[in-house]
Amino acid sequence: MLSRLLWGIAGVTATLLAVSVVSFLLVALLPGDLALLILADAATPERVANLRAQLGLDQPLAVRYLWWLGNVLSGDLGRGIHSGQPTLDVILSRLPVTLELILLTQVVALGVAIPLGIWSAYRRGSSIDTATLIGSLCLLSTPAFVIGLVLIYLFALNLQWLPATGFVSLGEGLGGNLQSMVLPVVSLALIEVPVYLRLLRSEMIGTLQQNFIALARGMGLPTWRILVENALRPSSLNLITVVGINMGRLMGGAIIVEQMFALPGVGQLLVESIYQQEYLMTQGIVLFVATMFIAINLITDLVYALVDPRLQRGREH
Amino acid sequence: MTSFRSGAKAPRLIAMLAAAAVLAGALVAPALAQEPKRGGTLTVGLAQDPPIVDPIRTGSFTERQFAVGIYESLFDINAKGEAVPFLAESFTVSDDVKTYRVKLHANVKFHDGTPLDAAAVVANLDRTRNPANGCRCLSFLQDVVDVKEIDPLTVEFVLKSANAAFPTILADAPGIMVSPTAFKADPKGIGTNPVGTGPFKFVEWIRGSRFVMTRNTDYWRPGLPYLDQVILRGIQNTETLQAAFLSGQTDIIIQPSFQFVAQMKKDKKYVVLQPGGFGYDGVYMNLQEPPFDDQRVRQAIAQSMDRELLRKTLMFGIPQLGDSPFGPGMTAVFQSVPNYPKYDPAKAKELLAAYGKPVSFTLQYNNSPSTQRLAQSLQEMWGKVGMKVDLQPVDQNRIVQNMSSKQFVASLYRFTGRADPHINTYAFFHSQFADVTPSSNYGHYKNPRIDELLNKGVATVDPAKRKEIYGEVSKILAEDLPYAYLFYVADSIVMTRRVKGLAEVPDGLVRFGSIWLQ
Repeated sequence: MLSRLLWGIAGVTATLLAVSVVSFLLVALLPGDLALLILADAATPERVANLRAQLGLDQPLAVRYLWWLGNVLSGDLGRGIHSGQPTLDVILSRLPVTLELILLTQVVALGVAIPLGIWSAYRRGSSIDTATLIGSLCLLSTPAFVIGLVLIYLFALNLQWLPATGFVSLGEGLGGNLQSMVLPVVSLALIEVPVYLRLLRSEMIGTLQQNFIALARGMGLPTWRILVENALRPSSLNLITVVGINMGRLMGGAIIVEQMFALPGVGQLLVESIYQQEYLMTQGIVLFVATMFIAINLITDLVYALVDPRLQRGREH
Repeated sequence: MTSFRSGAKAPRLIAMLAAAAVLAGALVAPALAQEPKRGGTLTVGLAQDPPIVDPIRTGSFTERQFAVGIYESLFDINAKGEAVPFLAESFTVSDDVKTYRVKLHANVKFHDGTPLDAAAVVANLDRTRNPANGCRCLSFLQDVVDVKEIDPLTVEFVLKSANAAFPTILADAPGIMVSPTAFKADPKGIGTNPVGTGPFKFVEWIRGSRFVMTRNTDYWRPGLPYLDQVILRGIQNTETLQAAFLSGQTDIIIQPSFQFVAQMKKDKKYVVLQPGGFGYDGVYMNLQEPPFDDQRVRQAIAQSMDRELLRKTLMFGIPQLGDSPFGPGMTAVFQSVPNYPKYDPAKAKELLAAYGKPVSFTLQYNNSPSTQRLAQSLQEMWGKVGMKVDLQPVDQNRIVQNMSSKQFVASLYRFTGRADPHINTYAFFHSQFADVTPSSNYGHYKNPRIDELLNKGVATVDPAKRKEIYGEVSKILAEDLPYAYLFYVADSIVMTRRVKGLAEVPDGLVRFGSIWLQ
């Protein structure tokens, strides 16, 4: 377990360094002059030169990178060009919305996918199984923004049941908060459901053919107990990995969905920063999200080992 | 010395507007006189949630719209597109147009209780003029030599050279008054916690979600405002912005797409306002690069664009065709330009034949889908008369840089315009900027007669004389054609029928003080 953790940390450090280089270059190599951009129509040659010196833009790329990395390591991701607010503070203020969106999406997606997955594995070939297969294929081939638009059109514009926009934070009331989250969460979750469902189904079919299941049946345990208590755990290893990796993928989905439903999360902040030419903010968000993604993967790895004791033994030979 | 007073004070103006509305109503049906109602919350949908609300960093239209409500300026733009005293009660200008003496309204207070007096004006101008603060408005203020307090309610502005456009400048960012107490206490924080003199006070700003203002009970204009609360919601996604409006979550949508405006015009539930606008869209050409160093090619460009067709199709019939740098909102100067080249592909072919060499060039444009469609249509129109055009989409920020550093051959570009003809022309066409980088004379345009007229225009106060001067400017530009105009900038406002009292102003900004809800 320990060596696994150490290897994990070494790998993570290397990946993080690579991420830092990429997110630095992403902004540093963009065409155009940041100083000219900040000054806009007030730019004169002297002012541009001064600002370039002030921002360190006159230094070689490698020096700028090290200087920037040093700041990042001490927790300073830079400040907004317009607002002067520390980038990290701004990101952290937007994070709860995105986290809530992602977690609720996972809960809803798993809440739908697990029972359906178990059932369609148990009743393989039944009409329910076929229906979920067709439904899954349809949902899988529809991008989140299309689902989002259809939901807005149906529930916000035509039926007027749910708001299309207008985020209500948890602090202002749970009811309003959940109401403003329904459409975004559903449009993200509908794409995750088929992935989870199909994965669980195929694993489950394999498990249900194992001897210990036959034994449990022979012992006369009720079907639901066999399915939930005996078959689900060994069938859910791949699901856990995918759920973990999906945390990062959902970050990407969140960018689109937050835009579409005007949710003030990190995804919207990223798009705003790009539009408003807040380069340091963009850089900071890319780095932050990548770091989060890597951390979640590491945690998934560890959880995986906890769920499946065979893995721990495997490494310690 | 010429003296000016604010033409119509706000309540009187509103009474006039109300009277006009009633009169108009009476023609259709026996209308009941509508008394403005108090109370209610107005929710406004905008295309963006800006980073800060501070006049010194205000660039885009949305940033300016966010400031309206909380902030007011010494001068304001009226429905005719003129700069008139606002926080200022009256002003006088010296005969050499170099000294402006501005008298302030008495008893105007900032939301934190600080009085708006001459000292506050001086403190604000010191802030905007300080290069360290990087005001986007610095170029407007370079001519200001001194700002002096004459008495507690009178300020004198001394300019380096004559500038008849100064009232318009004071209606823009440099004239917006921020509480000196607040910006001195927290120079950075003022951007996210604005304190002004406006009809509404700042309450809270939930980033990426909403900007909330509440009624200023000590507002200086009697009886105003009518609303209790105004909420601004920056929604970046166009579909979401429109869906929020259609589902009743917002009452007004500012700067919606032309397509949406065209759709809303057909729907009786909504009102569409289309104020005149000051600026222009066009094809900018670099006069130092072949083929545009030859006037015949530039004229061929102008005469081979079927602008009416573009207007009807891509633009959904919304904007007017542009013939000059002065939009129709600038009523004092706006006039038709009879000699502006008409659509005539046969004539364009003749001109190109006279030029003798094959014409090929690259057109830059910002990579938004609507501009892309426009560029492709133009490529085809120019292709029909024998010009070979390559398209080069670039992002907006790069195009701004390429233009001001003059790295382009031809470019689709726009200037949103201001209320004064001087601001719309001087920096763009005066030869003193032709070879300066960065500058707004993007195409290296030089014409001594234009220089002469621009110098005369900036020093002339009399509106009739200015109309004549800038009319001649338009005429010469229509011959030289440094830019081939497409359309005048048209910003629309779409609102529900319950929104009343919205004064239509050519700058497209919505002033909340007089609005009420039915």
